[in-house]
Amino acid sequence: MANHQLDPQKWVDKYSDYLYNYTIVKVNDKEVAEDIISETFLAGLKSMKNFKGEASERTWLISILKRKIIDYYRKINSNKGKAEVRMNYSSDEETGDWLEERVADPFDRTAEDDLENTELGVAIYACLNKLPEKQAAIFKKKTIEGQDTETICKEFDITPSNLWVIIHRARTALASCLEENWL
Amino acid sequence: MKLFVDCKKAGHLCDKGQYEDASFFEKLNVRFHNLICKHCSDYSERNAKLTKLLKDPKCRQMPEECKKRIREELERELAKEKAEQKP
Repeated sequence: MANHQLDPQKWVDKYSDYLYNYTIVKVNDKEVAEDIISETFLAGLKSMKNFKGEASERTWLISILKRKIIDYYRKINSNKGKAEVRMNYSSDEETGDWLEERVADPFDRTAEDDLENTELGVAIYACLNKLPEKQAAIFKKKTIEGQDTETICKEFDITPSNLWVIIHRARTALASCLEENWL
Repeated sequence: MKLFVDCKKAGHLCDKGQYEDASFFEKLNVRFHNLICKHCSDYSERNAKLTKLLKDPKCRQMPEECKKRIREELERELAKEKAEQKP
């Protein structure tokens, strides 16, 4: 199995939009989402030594993020006077302490592989993460940030025809990924 | 200028069209080509669908100033860790 590496300097560029889309549908508040993601990255930094390289960087970050989201709900619930968060097992055979057991799971494979029933934004950024790094960066700048061709060409030192080939590949790969996993 | 273009050119112009980078004439080229080419007309349709999805408000982006703030925070922490490891 591939041994994954952590590279915190690239975390914000690579994963912040993905984590943001993932979080915002769960907490429904922009500022809360921003805080949770910032905490997630910092927690990731602190527990880097615990990373075994078995899960991908993104899956690992998502597993930390999930705990942070649960923490957030625990906190607001205790503020409201101990309302209970009920989460049930999917089947009756499984019993035990739901939160502690599930949350302690070091990584959750479904977070990466199962894009069905996820939000559009989560699916798009998950698919973008599958593209080669440079391709994804150029595609994001052109398509999502709406920068013009000339600026991007200068930054990456490529010609406009290089750029259009990259855009074409990215679009084709993204369309297939979304058709397979989301539509 | 030609009115009819080959598939390669049509695909390229269709990509450009997704970014408002294609001129009126170039858009016309794509339309004419798509009339005679099933493959490219499917490609155009798929491409337009992708553009629509990417513009959907449900595809959100973290605000740039927030990214900047988190980037700085991470850098500070990384620098701190390095400083602690040295002595």
